Amino acid sequence: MFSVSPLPGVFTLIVAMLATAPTAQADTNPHEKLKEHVRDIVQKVKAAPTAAKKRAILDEKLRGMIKALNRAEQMANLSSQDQNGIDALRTRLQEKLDELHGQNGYDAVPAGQLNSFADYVQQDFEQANTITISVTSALLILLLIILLV
Amino acid sequence: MRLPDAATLAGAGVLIGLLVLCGGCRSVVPVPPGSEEEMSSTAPLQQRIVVLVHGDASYLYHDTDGTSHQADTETLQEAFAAARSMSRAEIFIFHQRPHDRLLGLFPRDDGTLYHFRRGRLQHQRTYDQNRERPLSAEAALLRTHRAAGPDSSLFTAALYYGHAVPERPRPGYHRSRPDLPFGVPDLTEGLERLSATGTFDAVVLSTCNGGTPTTLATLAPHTRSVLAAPGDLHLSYVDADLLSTVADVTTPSTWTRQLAEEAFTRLTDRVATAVTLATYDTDRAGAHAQRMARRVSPDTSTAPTGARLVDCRRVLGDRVDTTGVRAWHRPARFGPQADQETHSGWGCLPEQ
Repeated sequence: MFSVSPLPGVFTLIVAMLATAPTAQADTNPHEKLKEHVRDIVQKVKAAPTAAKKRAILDEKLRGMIKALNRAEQMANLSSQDQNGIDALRTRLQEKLDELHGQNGYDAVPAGQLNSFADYVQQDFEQANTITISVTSALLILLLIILLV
Repeated sequence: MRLPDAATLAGAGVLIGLLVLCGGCRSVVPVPPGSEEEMSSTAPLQQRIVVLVHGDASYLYHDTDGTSHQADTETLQEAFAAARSMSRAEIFIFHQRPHDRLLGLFPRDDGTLYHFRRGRLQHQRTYDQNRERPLSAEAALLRTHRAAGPDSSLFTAALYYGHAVPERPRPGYHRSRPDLPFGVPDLTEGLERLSATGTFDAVVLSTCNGGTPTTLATLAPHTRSVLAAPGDLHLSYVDADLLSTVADVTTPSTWTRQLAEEAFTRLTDRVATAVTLATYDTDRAGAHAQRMARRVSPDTSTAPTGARLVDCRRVLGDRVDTTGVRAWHRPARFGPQADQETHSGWGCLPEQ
């Protein structure tokens, strides 16, 4: 009768889990998830059948993200770096909201340009230094966006 | 309890070894094979190019149909393609990956060197970055592997791809080592280490906010010409494959100008955000970069804020000197600067 010791199997499993742990962590990077969230919004805007619907989606999602940033500030004791990062991000999001509706000196985005505007929102978000928000704060913001938006 | 026999332990050892090896290989971007035809050049070298690709942060971006791209990986692929096609160049491509530990204990190599000469891949190896002395590990590899012959006989250029480098060192730049400060003085020191003469013919900052008076004043003693963005630059960057379009150019200002023109055309085709690129001939622009740097608000914040730079003319008025500067500008299609049709090529923090 051939007997098999469970030790190598268990040992191998532990080693494999430890070795792949950083990969799993990288896959759930909240900064990247935030970018993916914005990408999903933009694709949803583009798929919407009417300009009114596109505008409504952008309005709802931009407001939701600003609300999440505000809530994150209230809930966490942020470092000055994170505070600066959140302030900058909120400013950029508020600009988009203002332009969407033609507030605070902006002309409202014309109905025929809402898809292009959505591309602009995404590109501006991706090139903004969301890098400066720590992983912990980015994770908190992400969770709040999922809950609130 | 029965102890495992020698064969079992040996098997487990082999498995661990394989995992260690695979772990070490993770994130190393493979070089596609080249054709024999591309590898037959014996022409004398005329360019030595160093491409530095920072990958220790979030470099994810999406194109307009929602497809995901990793800016660092994509830049490497573009640089490989250019290097394969440049028969009279030696190209060192460094990928600065996140710091990582196997099993959370053992540090792993966090950099990869790809060394091409005359279109042929000469070396591909991982190495350990020394972030406390930026680019010192890369400089040592360059000294070890570069072709014989002085830098003075070649056109030399360095291209840096990454997020905006802070004007003054501050923590947070490297995602895996957020405690370590990094800034333009560190990058400049690193570039000095990389060059045998301490000076490059051309430097490209494919980053946001590279074209500021302070950054140019710091870089100017170490390069003859600079290509940089005086504001935001989309993560799709100055395409590295464009290096092949300037493979025969050895005049610094012509090299940066042609590269800027090509990159500007591509960027304006694919993004709705502002595209502003500028070239700076440092023998003429260096002095007034210093003068302007003394007049603008110093970037002393403890963290990059993501604040948009504005054209320095909005801060300094007619004290902005554009001698030796050439700018390419297309305003954003939307946003607060959408009506700004021209740009001086100098980016400044807005006045509070």
